[in-house]
Amino acid sequence: MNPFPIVMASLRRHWIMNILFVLLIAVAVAIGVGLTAQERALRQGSAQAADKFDILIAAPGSQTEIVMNSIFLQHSAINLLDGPHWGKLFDDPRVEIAAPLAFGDSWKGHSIVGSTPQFVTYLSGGLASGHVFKTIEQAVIGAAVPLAIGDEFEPSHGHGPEDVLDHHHGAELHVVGKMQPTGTPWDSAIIVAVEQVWDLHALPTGHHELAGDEHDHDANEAHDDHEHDEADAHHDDNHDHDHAADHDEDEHEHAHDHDDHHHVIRIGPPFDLDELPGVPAIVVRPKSVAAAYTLRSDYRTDHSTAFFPAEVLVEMYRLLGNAGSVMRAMALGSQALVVAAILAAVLALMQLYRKQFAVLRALGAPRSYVFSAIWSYVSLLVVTGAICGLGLGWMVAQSVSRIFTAETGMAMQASLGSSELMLAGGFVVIGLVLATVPAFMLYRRPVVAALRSS
Amino acid sequence: MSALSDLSMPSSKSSEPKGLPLLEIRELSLQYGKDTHPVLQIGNLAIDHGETVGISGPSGSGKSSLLYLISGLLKPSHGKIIWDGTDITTFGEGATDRWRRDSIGFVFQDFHLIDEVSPLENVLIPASFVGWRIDAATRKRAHDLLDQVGVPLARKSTSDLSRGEQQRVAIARALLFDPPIILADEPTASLDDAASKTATDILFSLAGPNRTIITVSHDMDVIDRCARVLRFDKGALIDDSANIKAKAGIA
Repeated sequence: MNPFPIVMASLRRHWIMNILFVLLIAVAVAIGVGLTAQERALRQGSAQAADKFDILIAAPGSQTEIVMNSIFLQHSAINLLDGPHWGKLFDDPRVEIAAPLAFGDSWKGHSIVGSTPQFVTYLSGGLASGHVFKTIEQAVIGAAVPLAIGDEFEPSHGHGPEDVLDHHHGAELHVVGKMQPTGTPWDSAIIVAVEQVWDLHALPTGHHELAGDEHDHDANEAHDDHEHDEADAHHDDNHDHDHAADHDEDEHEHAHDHDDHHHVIRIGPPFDLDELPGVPAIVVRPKSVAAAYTLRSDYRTDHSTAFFPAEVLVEMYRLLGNAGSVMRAMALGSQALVVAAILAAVLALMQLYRKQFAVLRALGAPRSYVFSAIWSYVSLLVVTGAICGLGLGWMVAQSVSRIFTAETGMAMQASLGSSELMLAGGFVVIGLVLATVPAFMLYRRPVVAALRSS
Repeated sequence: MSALSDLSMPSSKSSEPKGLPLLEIRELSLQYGKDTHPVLQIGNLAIDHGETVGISGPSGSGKSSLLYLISGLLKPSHGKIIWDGTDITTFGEGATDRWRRDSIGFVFQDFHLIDEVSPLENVLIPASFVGWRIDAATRKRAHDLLDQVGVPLARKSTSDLSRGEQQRVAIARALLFDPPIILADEPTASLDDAASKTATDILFSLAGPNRTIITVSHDMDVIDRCARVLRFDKGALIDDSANIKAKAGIA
């Protein structure tokens, strides 16, 4: 028996309604698929972004905020960890790499982060071109920063559109290197020597000034013409350090004395502990797993906190998961409504078809033919809708991921995995089971009564 | 239309005359409730091979019910319907379906074609009850049938056919399995005079030693073409007589 001539005729007869059925099913499936695929893309993207950040050490405070600042470069006011508390990390035998992170400045919306040359190499896995900064006037750009090696730019204070902030330091930085793409928000960042950030903000620069540094630089060597007569005022205990908020709105250049007193600022470790200002966070790569745990434990004190960003992400995923569960439940609810609506419409439609099927029975069609024709018809709609929904959900998730990547720099790749296939498959199974309802109804309908009906 | 006589091709079905009537109805009654008045009651009735039987009577007199009983779509409350020596009322549902498919050709007042498929596919619809693929011989037979009822094969759209053409396609569909019995329920009621005459001509051209035509009709032109007329009233067979006009070839 081959019920498909009848199935195809039914599809053609009410083709607009059938297209609407398929669209309804597709949208219902796409909502669920899109949500799941997007959530997974977000998890994978954020996990990748946190990959190089084994341990974060910071002043006590919200770990989520520290992660958002350090890994996702979403800046907000966080406490600073005093120099003496983090400076000793550089002599710790358990530490492979320790790198301070200093935020506060930006260029055309791109965060300028102060750190060490070692961190740049570590984060980027080798530069795509150029070299790491060797002086405080040099900068390395992320792969997505629209600058080229040799360009100069002037950092603005805070984060936001330059013309709004209109708040320049008056320093020119030179791009000397470009990182390889990392698929993290750091692709949109500009990394400079941490000493540059400190110096611009009139903080101690982490190194004792060396006698004889004056006037011994050549044209290629860094120099700074700022004098740090306000350093002590900034270099005290933990304090909220909101660069975007704690400055006067007035346009100003830092009130550094511009005299003839030139000095060279060394960059990178080793630092001099008594010259170290506070920083928002330190990234630590431990030498071993055991070292990671002992470091985390040792730096959980009244003055500092230490944690694995993965722990925070897991907690964030849990919250995301809870929100996702609610959204998935709503998506399932909408799917159930769609199925119910379609079922009701098919049942109404089948009332119109009852005479046609009675005629087929009179011509010799067995009941099973009637059943399989109606079941196949509804099932075809469900399966087509579910396949379209998978594609639609994937496309929506891809688009959202692309927008998210463009805005955050975090690489997100939405893909169809087993959970999406299971979701669509589950919808299909439920659809196939529910398709038996109209099929059974017409299967059981008395033929003669239908033949006599007008 | 090519030769109408081609339609009464010899049947290979097991209803070839063997001295027994084609159908025998014995003490048949149909009622829809235990204590209700029977909607149809027939003592004994035999219909022979090759007969053309017209059934007439007012609405609600049980005419169509008799067709549904003969085709197995209705089960009688009492009595037997013997076909080729076998009581078809004892058939299970599957056997009844198969028997109806192979032995009965139904023609309806409103044709009941499927507009979304071609006339040829409409004729082939009963073949889809049997197997997944339609064999070449069946397809050829459908072609031939359409040709014989005068519907050009080139016509692709069933909905574009005239009503008369649609009824001819329905007749071709009824003939696909070369059934020994054609049951027609008001076959001309939806047609104009010209189309009605053509359909009636085709229908009666089907009759022959191996094919019996049983038709319910209010159309006297149709009834007059039947060699035997059964008249019903209030569920009872009140007259069973030879049609002199038909025998005389007047109609």
